[in-house]
Amino acid sequence: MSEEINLDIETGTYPSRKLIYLRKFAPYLVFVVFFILWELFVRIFHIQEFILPAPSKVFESLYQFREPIIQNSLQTLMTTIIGFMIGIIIGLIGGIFLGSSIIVYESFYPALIAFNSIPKVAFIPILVIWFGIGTIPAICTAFLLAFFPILVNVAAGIATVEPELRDVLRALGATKIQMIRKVGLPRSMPYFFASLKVALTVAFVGSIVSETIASNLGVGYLMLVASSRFQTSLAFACLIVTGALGIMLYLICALFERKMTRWTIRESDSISFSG
Amino acid sequence: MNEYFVELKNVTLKYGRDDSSLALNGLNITVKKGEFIAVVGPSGCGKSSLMKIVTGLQPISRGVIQVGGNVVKEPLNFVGMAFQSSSLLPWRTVLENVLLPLEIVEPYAKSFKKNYKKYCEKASSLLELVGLQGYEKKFPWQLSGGMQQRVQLCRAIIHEPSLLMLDEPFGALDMFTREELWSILQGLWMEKKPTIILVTHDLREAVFLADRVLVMSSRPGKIIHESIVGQSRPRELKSSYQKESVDLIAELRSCIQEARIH
Repeated sequence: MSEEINLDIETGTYPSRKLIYLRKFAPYLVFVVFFILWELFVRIFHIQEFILPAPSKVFESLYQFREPIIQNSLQTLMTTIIGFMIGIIIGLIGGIFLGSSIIVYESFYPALIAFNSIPKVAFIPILVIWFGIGTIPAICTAFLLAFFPILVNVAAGIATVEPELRDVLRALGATKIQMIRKVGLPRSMPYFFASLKVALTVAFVGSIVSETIASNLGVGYLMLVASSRFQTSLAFACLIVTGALGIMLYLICALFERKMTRWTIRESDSISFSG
Repeated sequence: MNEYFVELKNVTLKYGRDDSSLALNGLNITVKKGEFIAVVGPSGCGKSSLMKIVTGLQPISRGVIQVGGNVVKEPLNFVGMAFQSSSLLPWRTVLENVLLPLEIVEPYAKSFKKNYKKYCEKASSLLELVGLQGYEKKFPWQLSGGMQQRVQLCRAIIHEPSLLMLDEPFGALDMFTREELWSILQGLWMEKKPTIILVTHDLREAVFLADRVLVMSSRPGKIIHESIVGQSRPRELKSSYQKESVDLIAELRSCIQEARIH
């Protein structure tokens, strides 16, 4: 009898430990396998480099052109982050404004939806008329894409305070400002930080799109140059850098989020996090 | 000087225009200062509406409500409230949750920073009174449901409100925890003597805690019966199983039964 139980525990723990390892390394494995398949595909079918370069070639040109890549990436990062920061400020202020009053919320919401459904690329020609090509249109595009998710989430967090809580505070004579400061804002923080991840990613997209259309600097511009010279491997190298930067920005936001809104993580979750 | 602290005269509350939206109709309630009353009734009789109109959160359609000699026209600014759901702020520790009213209600809010230490001590001593010493730094989600309700009670009374409105504060708790909290609430009331209006569907709770139990009819709600609970204080938990209480509970029960049919 006892043997049977031991056996159960053995078989119960063994695969789960394996699973933990698998969960840790699977994301990296996906990348590695993807690149290997890509390399094999190119070699087996003898695909020409200017159509689809093998990953080995891509990494080669990544190294070869490291200086312009780094320089242009920094430009893209800068425009992304400035646009994103402005997006945070406007998104927060707008979100508080929108969330604090039902009338404001209802009057502005349709306009916001309309604004959000306009592809932001369409703004770039106008931005170029106003500011010329280069850094400012990229920052503006990043901002235009970034502020919306922040605004909507902060507004939702403030607007959806539980009715009981609202009653408790109102019966104490709390002013509108006190309600927002003591309940609305802290309550919307998890929404806010969740939206930052989305906002930063779309700001990045905005910067790059603007650079491909109207700039002489940045990863987007570099890709455009590479394609016009048929340097396909450089264009792919830029794509890889873009992806890596995207992951990096996302991780920074996620880390920040977890630090700032620890109270939303319940005890059982935190155990599984530490494990 | 009015002899009643809370007085509702012929109060009618409509949520819409027609008579079918009538929530309360011709409601008359009087509560003396320092009195503990319980309001019971079939579900949907407008008990929660009662909470809202007395505190001024919901304007009434007709009638007069006076609290502390003043006609209620806008939300009051001193009432302690507690609900069935604990409604604590999850990002605040237990201590910070209890301190919340002191950050809002005058004269405490003015000198909140200056007297912070004193207020913390006050909150700690309240928490000790409800058996939560040592939990000050915990977050609400680290506490059981019963503990959360105790924190909520502390939050409701820390600014020593003259009026305490309780809306089924123990409704979601198991019987033993509930009984424990009854005793705690009775203790708090006997010490500070606030006026308490307790809305509940638990007749034993009403009879154990209140000086007077009012029965509301089903929608549109009005008071159809009133019983005075004569037992001396402090009451013991087993008293609610003794004949006097049991008879009273039976009487209230049949009242509500009737109210549900009509």
